[in-house]
Amino acid sequence: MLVRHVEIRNFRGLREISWFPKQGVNCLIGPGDSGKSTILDAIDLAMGARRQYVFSDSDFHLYDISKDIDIRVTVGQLSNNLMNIRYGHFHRGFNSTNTTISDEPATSDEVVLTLRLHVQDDLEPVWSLYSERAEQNEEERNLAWAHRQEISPVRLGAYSAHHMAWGANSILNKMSTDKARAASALAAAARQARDTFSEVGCEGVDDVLGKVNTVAQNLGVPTQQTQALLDIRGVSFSGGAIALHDNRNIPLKNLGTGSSRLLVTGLQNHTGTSSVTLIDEVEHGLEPYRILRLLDELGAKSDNANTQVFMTTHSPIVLRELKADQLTIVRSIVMPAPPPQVAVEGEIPQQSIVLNTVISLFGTQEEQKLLRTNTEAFLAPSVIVCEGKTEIGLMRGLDFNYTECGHRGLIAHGCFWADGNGDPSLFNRAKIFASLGYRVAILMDSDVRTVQITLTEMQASGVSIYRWPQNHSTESALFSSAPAHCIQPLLSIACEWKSEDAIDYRIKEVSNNTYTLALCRDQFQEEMRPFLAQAAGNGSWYKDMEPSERVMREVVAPNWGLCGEVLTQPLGNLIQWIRQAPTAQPEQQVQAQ
Amino acid sequence: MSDVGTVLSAQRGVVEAPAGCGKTQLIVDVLTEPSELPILVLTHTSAGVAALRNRLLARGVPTNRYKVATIDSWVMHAIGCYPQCAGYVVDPENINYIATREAAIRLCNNGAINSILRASYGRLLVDEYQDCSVSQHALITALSNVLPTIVFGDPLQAVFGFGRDLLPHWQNEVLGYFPHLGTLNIPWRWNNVGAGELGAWLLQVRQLLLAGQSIDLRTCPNFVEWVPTPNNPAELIQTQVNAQFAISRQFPDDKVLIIGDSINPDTRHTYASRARGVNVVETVELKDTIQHIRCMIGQAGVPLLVAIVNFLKGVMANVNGDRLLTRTQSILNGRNRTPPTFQESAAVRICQNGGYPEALAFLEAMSQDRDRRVYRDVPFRMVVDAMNRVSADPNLNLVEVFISMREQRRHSGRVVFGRSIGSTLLLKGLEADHTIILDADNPARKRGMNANHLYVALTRGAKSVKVFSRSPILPGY
Repeated sequence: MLVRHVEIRNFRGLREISWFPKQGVNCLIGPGDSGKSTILDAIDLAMGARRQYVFSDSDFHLYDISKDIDIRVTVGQLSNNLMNIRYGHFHRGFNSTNTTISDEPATSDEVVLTLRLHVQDDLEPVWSLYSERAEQNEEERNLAWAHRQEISPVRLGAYSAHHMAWGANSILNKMSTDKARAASALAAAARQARDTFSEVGCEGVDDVLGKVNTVAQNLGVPTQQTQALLDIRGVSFSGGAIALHDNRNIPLKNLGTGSSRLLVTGLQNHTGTSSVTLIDEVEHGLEPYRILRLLDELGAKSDNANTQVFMTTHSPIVLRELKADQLTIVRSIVMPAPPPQVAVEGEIPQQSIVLNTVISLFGTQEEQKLLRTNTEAFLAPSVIVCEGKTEIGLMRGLDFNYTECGHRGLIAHGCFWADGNGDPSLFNRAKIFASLGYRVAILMDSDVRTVQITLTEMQASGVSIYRWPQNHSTESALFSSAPAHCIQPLLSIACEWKSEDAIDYRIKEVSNNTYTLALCRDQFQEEMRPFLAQAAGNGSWYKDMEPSERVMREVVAPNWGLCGEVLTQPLGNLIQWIRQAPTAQPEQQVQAQ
Repeated sequence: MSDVGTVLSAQRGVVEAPAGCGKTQLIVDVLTEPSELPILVLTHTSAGVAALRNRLLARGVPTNRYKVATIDSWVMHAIGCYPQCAGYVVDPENINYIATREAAIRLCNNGAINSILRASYGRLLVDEYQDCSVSQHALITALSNVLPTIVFGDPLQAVFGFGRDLLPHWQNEVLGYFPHLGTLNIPWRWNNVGAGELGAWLLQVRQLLLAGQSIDLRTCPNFVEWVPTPNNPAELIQTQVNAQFAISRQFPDDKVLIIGDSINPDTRHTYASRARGVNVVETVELKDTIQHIRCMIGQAGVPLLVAIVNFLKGVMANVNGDRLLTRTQSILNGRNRTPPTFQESAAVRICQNGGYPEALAFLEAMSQDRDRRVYRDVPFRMVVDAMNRVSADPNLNLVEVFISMREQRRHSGRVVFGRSIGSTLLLKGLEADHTIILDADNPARKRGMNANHLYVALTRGAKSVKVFSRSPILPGY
């Protein structure tokens, strides 16, 4: 059994999503509060056999109880029980080629069932099967309880302890085929316990018993010789009374979160019953090497077509282990509502509309490469695709500088950089991020002529581009803008990186032996600047992360105000862009409610 | 020889099953075998479904091993589930059965629906296959591409097959598609009651009839008795009633089936009105009763009385309806010399603008009259019950109430007690200890029995068969 489609309306942070998950691992990533865990909860509630969840007003999107919570999970690869014609009015068709669901299965479709959870303002959850034709004919039907238990997913939350005992929804219960025998053995044990208990007696309750007897007699209630005994009903097989213990009699419930999750996952694979697993924060409580172990156990590396795992993560370690097509980006953007055309008196003006997007990666080679090389960027809401290592170095330098000065760093604004790997690869990478819903900017130089169409196309995809003016390379922009007293430290960094000979050679080459390294370093004159800029560009003096980071951190940033506009204007605009991110709220705006 | 193993291992096939040779038992045995998926069993009539279901319940076969339905009800359910794939929306007011079967064939050709069917049923068994029409045969062959399909039937017991939808040719079309798995050949019905000789004789007769040859009724003297048909019609019916009474005197607890004219129910009713203690096996439709009920609806006073008397004439002996109506008029006009009887008073109360309550009292009074006798209990009881319900709730419509009762009866299956008269069509599938065939060689083309009717008639009785005919040798057909 696999989840083919998830449709959620008005559930917590989700106004509306429609998503076709894949078989195998579906790892949801996205900025905080984007709705990742809510999707897991929705699947769990709609498919699960749990009935104790109590809905409250806060489960409604934006607390608006006038809009019903409506969760529809469509499942395929049905067992014979679910495929049975008894559910005939609800069988629907899933076309995997063009990912569509039709109300009746066409000949090449996969037969699917849609499970619906509907909550209205009475907060009473209603589980049912859904098909358009059944709804039209006002036919209502639910899955038989046994079948619901069969498809019920295993949820590994922050606490998996309940799986370490036989109880409702516990994995051990699913593994037990002969429950009746265990139950009778347990009942026998409970009776023995009661007998032993009544022999030994219970100290400290005699007082109470005496009082009960007195009061009862006074009231004429016939209770003679009241005694305190064990209540057998309190010891039931599925009530969690039997739990796993290790050889020192320590209950396995005391295992750490990570360990117990790992164990439960292993057990889950062993039973092979429920094929859907839900895990929040897959990395939770696990060391990196055990994360890999868990991912392995979950089937992240194999192409097992019979299982499906829904997980969320914030860990680059997890991401690096995954294939690109196992990733799904969840985002929620708050859009200001359009001003109402006609103001209706008494109507509460709608403040904003939440736009939820759930986009899965296709798993192309480019995506895979991007994921491997720029994992962290995938975990940030805004991404700056830098043309190369030099530009990344500049951004890192800037970030360090902000933090050193006690300001909020760029990363803290919800921003991370990605390596564009040069022109034209950087445009592809920017496009990938943009199509996944990320807020994307490009930082690039202008020494290579970029086709205008590409730039227009980028802008159409919502990508902001920041680049040096007038065909400057990054190195030439630096030398064109740096104040005079900074030329010497700039040259020092270049010499450390490239050796003095190389720098000297470049300067001589572009100046026709008019200037030398020594001259520029010790007796800098403004007329040397163009030659230095050209030499730096030709020699790619800072073409790596470390030198350009040092340049920014040690030289440019401390002298920002003195630097020329060639450098500071594009970078300034970029910083502005970073600060405008929806996730980058001004400090100290959080208020207690 | 066909056994459970043969049926369960075959992908497709026919089991030919002469009457009384353990066909139903074989089906029950097949369903008793543990299987991963339930087996779908289809038959023709609701009565057949009820009979099989009761047999399975009695045997204690777990209900999750099988699903029994009529072909048409299963078709309606299936196309109701997937109307778009079937390309047909059922209009319950006007069901075109041939179209529904074509729609179901479209479902069988849908790959996704195939997987649903295969997940729902492990195998398909079809009972009474000789009664399958061409369109039903087409449907079953389509289903046999999805599910392993075994059909059971006996071409010699095909007595249905009327209207536009003809029967497929058994030899060419049925056996041409379904391989012949075997023919059941142990006459259990007769062996079990010590009448093995009769059972063996019937198997011989079957071969003769299949070959179109004549049969001699004198060749099984211990069990089959030929009675020459008297020439005088009045004498005929008296002789027949006497013969029946003779059997009942000798075996007071045995079941007797009397097989009358297939076409004309009135002759059977006449027989019942003459032979005390004989029940009439009624048709499912009860067409004549419905017609009478239509005359009663919305009526009161004299027209209601007339309608009720007309109804009673067909279900009760000695109604003397015309005299009763004249007497009622005289009483109303105060011209009667003798005091009104209990029944006449009840009739008078209907005429005084009486409605259903008065009608019910009249019916009750009539049924208590010692000179009169209800010989068609089923329609009489049903009319009384329907009228009772409408009296209690005037919003109900008498015809609708009656029809819903009729449908209920259709699904509850047939049970025949004691001595009953019917036709081969009505008695097919039922069995008794003794059979009396009232007219085996009527020369009128429409009223004569053909080989199939004769075989069905001869095989109803397990202990004895009495045949009225002009000649002891019945011609080949």
